[in-house]
Formats: sequence, C-alpha cells, structure tokens
Amino acid sequence: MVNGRLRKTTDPRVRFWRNLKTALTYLVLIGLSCVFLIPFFWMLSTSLTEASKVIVRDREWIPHPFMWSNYYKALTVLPFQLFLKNTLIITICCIIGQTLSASLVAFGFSRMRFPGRNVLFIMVLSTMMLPVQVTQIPTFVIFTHLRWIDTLKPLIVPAFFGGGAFFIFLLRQFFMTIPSELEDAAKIDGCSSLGIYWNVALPLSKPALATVAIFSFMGHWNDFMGPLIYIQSMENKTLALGLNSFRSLHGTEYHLLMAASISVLLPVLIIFFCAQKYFVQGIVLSGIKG
Amino acid sequence: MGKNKLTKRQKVEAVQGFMFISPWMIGFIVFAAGPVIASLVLSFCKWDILTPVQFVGLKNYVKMTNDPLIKKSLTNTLYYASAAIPLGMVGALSTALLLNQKLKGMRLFRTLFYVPSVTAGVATLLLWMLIFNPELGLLNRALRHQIPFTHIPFIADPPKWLGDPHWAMPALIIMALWGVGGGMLIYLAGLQGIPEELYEASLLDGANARQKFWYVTIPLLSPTIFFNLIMSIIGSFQVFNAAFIMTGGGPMDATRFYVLYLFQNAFQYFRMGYASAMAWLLFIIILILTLIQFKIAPKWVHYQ
Amino acid sequence: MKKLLTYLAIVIIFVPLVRWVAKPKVRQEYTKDGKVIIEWYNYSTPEFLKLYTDYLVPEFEASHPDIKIRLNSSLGDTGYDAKLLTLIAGKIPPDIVHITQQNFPFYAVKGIFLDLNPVIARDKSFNLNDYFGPVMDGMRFQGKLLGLPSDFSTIALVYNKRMFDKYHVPYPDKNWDWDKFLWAAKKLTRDTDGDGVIDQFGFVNINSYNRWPAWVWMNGGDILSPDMKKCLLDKPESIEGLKFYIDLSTKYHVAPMGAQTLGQSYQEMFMTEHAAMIADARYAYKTFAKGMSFPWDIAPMPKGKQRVTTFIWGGNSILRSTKHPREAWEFLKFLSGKEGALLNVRAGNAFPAYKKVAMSDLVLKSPLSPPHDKVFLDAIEYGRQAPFPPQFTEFNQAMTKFDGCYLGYTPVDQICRQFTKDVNAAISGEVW
Repeated sequence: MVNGRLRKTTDPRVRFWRNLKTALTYLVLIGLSCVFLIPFFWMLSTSLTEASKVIVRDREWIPHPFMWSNYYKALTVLPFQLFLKNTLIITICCIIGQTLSASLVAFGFSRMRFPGRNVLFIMVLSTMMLPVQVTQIPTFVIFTHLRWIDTLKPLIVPAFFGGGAFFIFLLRQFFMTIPSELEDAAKIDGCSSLGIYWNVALPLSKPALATVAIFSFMGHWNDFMGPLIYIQSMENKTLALGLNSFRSLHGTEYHLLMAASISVLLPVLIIFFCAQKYFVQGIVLSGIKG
Repeated sequence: MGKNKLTKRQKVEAVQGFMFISPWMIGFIVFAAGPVIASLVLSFCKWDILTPVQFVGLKNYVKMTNDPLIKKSLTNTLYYASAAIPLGMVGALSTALLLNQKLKGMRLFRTLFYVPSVTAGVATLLLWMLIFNPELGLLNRALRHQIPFTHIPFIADPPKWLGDPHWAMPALIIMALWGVGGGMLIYLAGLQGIPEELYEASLLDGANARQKFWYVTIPLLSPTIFFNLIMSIIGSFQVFNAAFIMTGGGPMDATRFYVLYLFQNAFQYFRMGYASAMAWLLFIIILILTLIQFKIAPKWVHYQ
Repeated sequence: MKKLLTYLAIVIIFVPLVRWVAKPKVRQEYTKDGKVIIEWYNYSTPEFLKLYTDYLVPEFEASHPDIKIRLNSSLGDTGYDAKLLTLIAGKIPPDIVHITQQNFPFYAVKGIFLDLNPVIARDKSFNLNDYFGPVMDGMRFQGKLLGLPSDFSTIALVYNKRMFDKYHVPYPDKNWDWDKFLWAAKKLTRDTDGDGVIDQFGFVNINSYNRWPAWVWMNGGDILSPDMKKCLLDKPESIEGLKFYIDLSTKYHVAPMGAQTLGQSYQEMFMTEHAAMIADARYAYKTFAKGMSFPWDIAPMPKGKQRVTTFIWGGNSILRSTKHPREAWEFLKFLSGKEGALLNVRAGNAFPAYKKVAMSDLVLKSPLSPPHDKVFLDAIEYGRQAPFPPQFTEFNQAMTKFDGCYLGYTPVDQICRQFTKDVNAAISGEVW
C-alpha cells in the first residue's frame, strides 16, 4: 500500500515526468545553494587579495597570490586577542548561567506544585512580548549606580537570573515529558527536590540542554547592541564591537576587513557544523511548540 | 467542598517550588517589572543623565507627534516590515516545500541554506556592506555583467544601494532574505508533522497538487505560520544592527529605523525621557499588532 | 563528609564570585605614591595617542611632579559622545575633555563645564591676551568661559599650482570674486582621458557646516540672528549664497557629485590631482605631508559681497565634577599654553591658539608651509564661527536635509525654507 514512498512504477511516461521534476528540483536547489553561499566565497576571496588589487573594479575571483598575511595584519591592528578573551568570558559564563538558571526555573514550573504557578508562568511567557527597548534605559541606569559600566558584568549577571523566557519555556516542555514514575522512584530513595532535579531531570534532558547551550552561545557570541551600550574601552570590547571599530578605523581596507570578519565567523561555523543536530532540533522544538 | 488547607507536605513543596523559580522572580523584578515601570515614569520626564530629572508630564509624547523623524522612522520600519515579512515567509515556505521531498541530499541542502542564518552578526553585515558597494561590490558586478554572447551589460548603471535613498531599504530587505534559513527549518519541521493519511485521503477525493496545497498543507501548517508571523513582526520592529553599522540611518534618513532613532535619542542625544516615551510607543504598537493577530487567529489557524 | 566538602566547595567558589560581582568600577584618583591622577578624555586616533604619550605627557609630568596624566580616548570622533555619556553616567568621569566647535554647544548648555572666569581671576600667571580673541570667544557661553582653546584654523583656498600652470589659469589671489572663481573652476574641469567621463574637477564642495556658512555670509545672508532667536536662512541673500555653493556641483558641474568622487575624500581628490582647488583648514597639512608631488599654495577664499570665512577650533574643558580642579587647571594651561602650543605644532595641528607661537617662524616657516601659509593666519581677521543654538540636536537633524541638495534630489531654496521653519520651531521651544 501507499506508505509515503514514491510508488515504484514502470510506466515510462510517469517515470519521465517524475525524473524531470527531480532534475528540476535539484537544479533549483543547486542554484539556490550558490546564491546562499557565493557571498562567503567572495568574502574569502577578498580576504586573500592584495591591498592594491582589492580596489580594482572587476578583479579576479581567485587571487594570485594568496595573501595569508592579511589575516595576521587584520588581527594585530586591533587587539583581537583581547576581544576574543572578552567574548569567550561573556559567552561561557552566560551559557553556564542560562542553562543552570533556566533549567532550575523550568523544573520548578513543570514538576513542583505551588500556588500561583500557572499565573506566574503566563507572566514568564508575557516577557517574550516585551521589546528590549522598554527595559534598556532603566537597566542601564541600574548598572550605572552599581558602577558596572565599562565592565563585562552587565552582560553576564542577568543570564543567571532566569536565563530568558524562551529557554525556560523550552526546558519546561521537555521536563514535562519525564515520566513521574522516575520521580517517584527517586523520592522513595530519599532524594530531595534538588536531588531529583540534578540526578533525574538534568541527565534526561541532555538534548534540550544542549540546544539551550547552543542558542545561548549564538546569541552572546554575536551580541552587538548589549556590548555597545555598556562597553567603552578597547580592552573590554568584544569581537562584535571590535569588528565595528575595525570598520570605522580601517573600513576602506576591504581585504583586512574581510579577513577579520572571517576570523570572527569561524568559531560559529565550526560549532555549527559539529553540532548541527542540536541547531535543527532547537528550531524544530521552538517552532512546533510555539 | 470547603477550602482545602495545604498539608505540611504540600507547604514544603510550595516553598521549594518558589525557591526553584526564585532566580527568575528576582530577575523579573529587577530586570523586567521594575524597569518597565521605571521607563513608564521616565517617559513623563526629561533627563539627560548630566542634569537632574525633571517631570514634564505628557510633553515627550506631544513632542513625538511633532517630530518629523518619528514619522519617518515609523514609516521606514513599516516599509521594511511590510516587505520583509511576506517575502520572508513566502521564501522560507517555498524552500521548505522544496526540501520536503524524499530525495537524496536534502539534509545537505538544508544545512547549506541554513548557514547564512547561523552566521548572522557583525561579520556578515560587513560582508554585505561590501557586496552592496556600488563600485567594487559583488552585486553590482553581477548586474553589470554582460549577457552572454552580447556586449550588452545586464544593467549598465546599477543602483548605488546603500548610497541611494531609494535603494537603501531594498538593499536591507534583500539582505534579510538571505537569512530565510531559520524560518525554513521551522516550516520544514511543520511540514514533516503533517500526517500522510491526510494527503492520501485528499487523493481519494480527487485532489490535484494545488488543491492538496491549499486544503491540506496550509491549514495544517497554520499554527507554524502563525508562530512565524508573530516572531517576524516582533523581529522586524527590532532591526538595529544593520542600520547602525551599515548606514547609520542614512542616506537622508532612508534607513533610520525606529529602534535606531530610539537608541540615538538615548545614547547619543542623551534624551532619556524622550527615548523612554518612544520605547512605550513601540511596546504599544507591537502589543496591538500581536493582539490583532491573536484575534484573527481562530479564523484561519487550525489546531489538531 | 561529602556534604561538608560540597558546602566548602560552594563557599570557595561563591564568596570570591560575589566579591567580583559586587566590585564597582571606580576611578583612581591617586597613584600609589600619592600623585593626583588627572584623566584627559579626547578622540585621538592611535597615532596621536602615541604623540601624547611620548611627548606631551612626559613633559607635563616632568614640570609637575605631583600630577600624573592618564589618557582616555574614544579613538575617533564617532562614539565620542556615547562614551563620554557612559563615563559620566557610570560615575567614572574624566577631569578634562577635549572639545571642538562642533560639540561644544551641546555640552555647554548642559552646564557640565567648569566656569574658568573665577579661576583666571585668581591666577596671576595667566593672561587672556596671549590668545586669539575670536577663538577664545568661541568657548564663551552665556557670559562664562567654559574652556581654553588649544588650536584653530581658518578655512582658505588650497590650490594645485601645476594644474593652474597646465591650463594657463592665473593663480587665485585676494582680488578673486565669485565669478572669477567659477571661471577658473570651469577651465580646470576636464575629461582628461577622453572617455566621456569628467575625471578632473576645479573644486570640491563638501557638505560641511564648516564650509557652507561662509558662502551664505559672503553674500550678505546669515544663518542665525545674533541673539539666536531666529533662523535667517530663508532670506534671499542667504539662499542665493548657499545655492551658488551647491550649484558648483549640481548645476555648473565644476565639483563632483556623490559617486563622481569615486569614493575618494575631498583631500584625496586634491592630493591625487583630481581636483584643482579645495577649501580646507591648516589641519590638512598633516594629511598633505604624506606626499604631494606637485607645487601647491594657499589663497584667500574668493570674495563675495564681503569677505568672510569660517574657522574651526579644538580646545579643552574641565568638567565641574572633577575632584582636582587645581591640578586640572594646571594641565589645561599647559595644553593651551606655550608648551602645548609647541607640541601642537609638532603634531601638525594647524595653529595653536597661543598667539606668540602661532605667529612665530616655527609655524609660518615650517617645512610643510607653502609660500602663502600666512593667508590662514591673516584670515582670522575676517573669520566667523558657524553658529549653533542650544537646541543643538534638532538643529543638526534639520541640517541633514541638505544632503539631498548635494545629491541633486531636492532644490536648495525649498530646503532652506524647510530648514528655517524647523529651526525656528526648535529655537522657540526649550532645549530637549
């Protein structure tokens, strides 16, 4: 019976049209892939071009010679190692903070009973509707009073307080699927709620936690507006801010600009290709449950 | 029935529950509820951080109605939204449909299409600045390319993109379309959640491809479409990085998005009160738009 | 036992964490050995910072052993305001800030600068007359003197002698009027390689508030009334003056429009001989020193109905929030006085505001000076500063509408009237 697969058929006419459709599909897909990926190749090509050739109007695609020195120059003109350090600190701390606090909160909302639980959860969801601009200025003022301006703290500390409504929502969905028998078994063994959280819920939710970690990474590695508001001195800048400074100081040196950009993109691409599964999973989870 | 008093056990669990969610509660008060109220109060004041706060009542809002840049930035944002949202959704859905076939290599294409979304950040903005460069950029180079076998260029005098007030916004929209990968994945997941039996049933009813699409696919995909729509609306009203880095709002305020103007008012012109008023206007607009969507939803969104 | 260890681990991690989190970022006011730290905020690029650290700061610290200078820079003038705001808001304000005629009014209105009048009255070693009057007046606001200028320059005509010789055009001189100027520019605008595209221009008319007011004034018009209560750009003389300037590119085509600059700045165009004349300040010598392969010289700007030109300046102001006004004043005097002036000259910073050095041979006969270098200095006699009302933000926003005129999209008179309307509306309201 039909089970979703293409019926095997020997009718040459049907076969012909089917093959044509397949061929066309592949053609379109390859064409689209080119459109999506050509900018990256051009980026690479520009980054390896010589300074004098970069401003030539219709320069060749494959530069002769490959100026690998562009990368060295681009990354030393501004202190990129400092930018990397700051970005890593922020990103890693936020990943830890968000996964930890979002999972704690989600556990509370999913497996613990307390008065007002549903109302509070709706409040969690409602914060997703809040445009960040409404809270930006007072939050900035809070941080000026704490004297945390021009440090990395305003970008790290909030991650430990809930981790964001989206992650709480995601993890709660996941926790709700944990069978209560496991929880009961742990309780019988004398586990406290915290113990259940740590020993039962977390290990079972590794995929969801991985997703949260990945999205947290993406969000903070590329974050621009946050650091823009809080960080001023060159030593505290992140990669995103550093690239922007690069643009304003050496914006017309396109080869260096592209080399620096590619260097900043590389970690993201590497992590993406290694952890594709979790990316897709995360998007799917968020979309379906939405 | 009577009131149910919590047993000691339940009381303990309630306290523990609150402790679990305490990080969020603290965060909510300090970083959400508190600032929301504070910014509302600020919107009725005049403050530039360097001098003391002054209460001015509704003057900020009145000033907003007279400020030509408010109108311009709202128009710009709406222009962008009304183009990027439909185009983005159609693009994402089309690619998802294309990839929803059981052919070899779909996984690879899906990954490739998604890469641009993943790389979103300052680096890709700089890349696109270069792509849109009127003289050296990839786009104009392709447009100026000669049609094969003739000496006629495709478009001899291509637009100046980010340097031309009429083409700056279209340029940003084109750039947004490059990132349809994210939406595509969501639609793909949604498509793959549609049970085969429904398609077969429709075949039995004599449906052709077009009818299958409109009467099976779309209705069953509607929750996903709805979700995407809400997210897109909120997202398109928050475009900041592109405007700040690539054009600075120009040329001639063509890309001065509302959120960019807000940022400039707060952190460049030091008008905290005015910026807070702008933030509240944004909040109300987004709220109204989302409520409208929720109201219309039952008419076209089918939940299984 | 295990519980004890876990608790211990938590404390060991937690306590330093909380301490780190709670640590406020404060400004150091004193060095370890008790010296006062004065922080100077400017927008110098790395090359200037190097000059300061290598020469300026050591010299000051040598003569003032109880003061240490710390430099803080926004590395370029974009982001200067945002950074200053965050520094002040974050309670780590600098003591002295570098300021130019462009952003001075914005901060002056906010009252964050220290009034120097009482300070000067008390300090007998300081003499106001050592400085150029008009430039010093630039830093006065509502009767207070809010800073000391350190350098300035008028705007004059810089021209390429070789190009003038090539096309047999007589050099500009003080008798030039607008018609002569236009005639010469036309003769110098050519398509040198015959491809149908003009690649050499007589002049470059940049859209800068440091340039176009001069043309308005020269024609007898004005931008703001002296009491800053009314915008006068809709008067026929004002419009005519500005129109002539903008028409140079949009109508007469002796100056490039938009893309015709091929991405080069106006200085780059001059240096690569794509433009025969530009209107520039003496600050440009720094850039020109990088290599001009042709003889060039300075001439006064062409005379309209009267002779006027703009001047720009840079200076420094002390913030009222400083905890060390005395030390800050010492450094301010240094920056603007003889030593600072000499360093300014070495840095190629146009003219120091300090008269004696400005008029000395050190400046006028420097290796960078073309034959008529003195034109810049003489021009201060008819130099005016482009005015700003306190409603600075709206004023600037209204000015962005002129971009369209330079691109040829909108007619000048229409924009002038619109500008006047907007500015009058802004001036009649409060400062927001």
